[in-house]
Amino acid sequence: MTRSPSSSSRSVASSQRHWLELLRRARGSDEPFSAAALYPDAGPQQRQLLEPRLFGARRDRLLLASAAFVAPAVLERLASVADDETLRVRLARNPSAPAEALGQVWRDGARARLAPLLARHPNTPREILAELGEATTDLDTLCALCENTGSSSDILATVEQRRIPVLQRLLAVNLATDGPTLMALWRATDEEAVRAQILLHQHCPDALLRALPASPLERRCIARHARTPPALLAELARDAEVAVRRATTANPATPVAAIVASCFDTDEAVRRTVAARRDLPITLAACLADDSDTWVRRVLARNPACPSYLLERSAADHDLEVRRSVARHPACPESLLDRLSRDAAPWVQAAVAYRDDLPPAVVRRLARSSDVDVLAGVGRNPETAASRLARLAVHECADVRRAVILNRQTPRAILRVLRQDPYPLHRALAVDHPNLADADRWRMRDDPDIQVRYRVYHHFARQLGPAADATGDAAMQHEQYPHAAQEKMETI
Amino acid sequence: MKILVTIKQVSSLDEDFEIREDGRDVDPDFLLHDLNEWDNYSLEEAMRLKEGPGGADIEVVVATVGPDSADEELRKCLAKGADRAIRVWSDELEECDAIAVSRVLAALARKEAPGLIFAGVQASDHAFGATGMAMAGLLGLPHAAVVAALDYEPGGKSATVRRELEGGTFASVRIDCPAVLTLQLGINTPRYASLRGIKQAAQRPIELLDPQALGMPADEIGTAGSLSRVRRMYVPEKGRAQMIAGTPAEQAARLAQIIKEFRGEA
Repeated sequence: MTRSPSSSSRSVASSQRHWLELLRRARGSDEPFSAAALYPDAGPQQRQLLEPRLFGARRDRLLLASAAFVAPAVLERLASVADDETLRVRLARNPSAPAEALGQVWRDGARARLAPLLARHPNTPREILAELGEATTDLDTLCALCENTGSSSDILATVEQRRIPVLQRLLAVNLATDGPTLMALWRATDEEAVRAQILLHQHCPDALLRALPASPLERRCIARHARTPPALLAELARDAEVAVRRATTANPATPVAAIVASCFDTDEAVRRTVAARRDLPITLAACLADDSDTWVRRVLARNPACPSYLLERSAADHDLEVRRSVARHPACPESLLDRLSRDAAPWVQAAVAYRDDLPPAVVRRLARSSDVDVLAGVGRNPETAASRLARLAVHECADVRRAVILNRQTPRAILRVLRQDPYPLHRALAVDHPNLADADRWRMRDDPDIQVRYRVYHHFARQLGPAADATGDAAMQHEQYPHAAQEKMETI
Repeated sequence: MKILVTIKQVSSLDEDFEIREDGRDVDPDFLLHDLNEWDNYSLEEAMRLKEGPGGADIEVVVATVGPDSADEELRKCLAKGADRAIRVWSDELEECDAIAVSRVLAALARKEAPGLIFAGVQASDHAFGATGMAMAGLLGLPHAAVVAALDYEPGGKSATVRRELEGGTFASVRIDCPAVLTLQLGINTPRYASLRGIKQAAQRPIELLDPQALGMPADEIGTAGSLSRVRRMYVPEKGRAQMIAGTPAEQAARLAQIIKEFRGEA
């Protein structure tokens, strides 16, 4: 639908009014998080006006520095005004701190205290990590560098060249370590734990994956590797060690022919991993369907490779967890679901209730249950009628009400009830529901809970902030808030 | 009938913090405030009696000793259904200990004359675990600590409580009322305040009293009425414990080396 020029200009004016009200409220709030929610989307002048609220008091600066949910733009600016060491330490620990903030902290702070923190932070700029990798002698810092998911392969290679034994296993664990570095580590050590990690690594050189190691730990790791040759995997499937056989059967690269004998392994853990294989042939599935171990039957009943006729048998299993697994099988036939929805155990009924492919009649039957697990499943089910959801939305059990909020089909009228739920987490979840209208969210801007307000402010900041033009900046600066306009904001 | 629920605004700390310049407390910039966890359960137990059979005439009064900021915790209690909220404060109470707080609360209890007094077993910040029982001593009332279950008929002359003891054992105790009970976590499931309750609580008055208004003599107020004084608050220096990094073999070798060093053999 195209809007007339006058309605479009009214919409812009309305957006500006709402944006200005949020800015005014954030500036007058007794906590800094509302302002932090607006800051990333505010214009330059509006940012200046928000900054006293954000960074004026040390207490607020400390709160923001350790808040992981605060936007990187806020933390970046905070780093530039950080004037004490505690604040810098908190920023260096904050997982959301961006590279610019961490670089600032490194330039201004006491390096001995910050080095291990920045060495561990995945957002630390590469040049700082490289500097630490080459120069630091502090073992804690080097360990942190080796454990950092942000460390690049060349930095890790530099650390490896320092030949510090205690770092070798950490280097072999880091996903960024490249093949040549792993090979250098292999040659530098005969330590079983380090070699095992190398064999497990995705960049492990092919040459290392061709021989059968003597150590059970190394064999276990080579058995798990996706590039281990099939012939070697077939040999490992007959290994004397249970852990090695289990790792081999769990490896999708192991040929099916090699795991036939594993169906009859004396160790139930091996049989469980066979039962979980997605490429399990029907004949092997049939062998496992009557296994004496409950877990084998449970795992098999959930495996998409398990055929319908075996599901029929498992649906009559005496163990309720096996029947529950049948109800969770992705291709469980409708007739079985109907039968399981009448199961004597509510735990089995609950598994049925959580399925998205239920016939409406089954949903209606389950909705008559008094069990909260079943009702939570019904509340979350997209087939549940709105009238039933309305009743569940006022259920005394918080889990049931939360399920209704998590249902993407819950209509707006019911969400309007749930946005007043006593449990703050529920209100926070309701803010993000796609069927809640902005008019409803706008009425939540006074919510007593900080996390709910933060989400509301953040939602509108993304919408209104970019649309606010220089007029908005000027209005904010001069505190022009016509009272009549503010009252009308209730009808966004 | 009246139930007096004594509450406390407690402080929690982040991982890094600084000690105040005088070295006797944490820098307030690093403190986060909240209602003591145990007090949620105490209030809920009072509300359970009020909303249960025969509880229509029960008046739930929450009280605390604390500065302005403690109003926030009192309002949380009002939002959950408490009938009245009382805060006692004066500058003299700034550095009082748990006993001096008990003296204030006991004076308030004499004025309010409740049929039952509920307190939390302890506060999560200072963890004295003393206020409730000291108050009972000052009032000369029957008392039971660490109450995990309460059976009481509103207006009754006695209550039966289940006390949590060592080693997972319980004691069932009959206690005459009025009585002071300190309630344990898990005695009930505390409610969340409704939005309407929170909005209404924001408008409701909080009665502000000072110790003099309660008729307390000067030698019982604040530090004069305290039996202890914090001399120094500090983070102990790190001991000799250390994490041994490396592979199992490296860890074993390092451990052996440490033992040898300890024996003077290395």
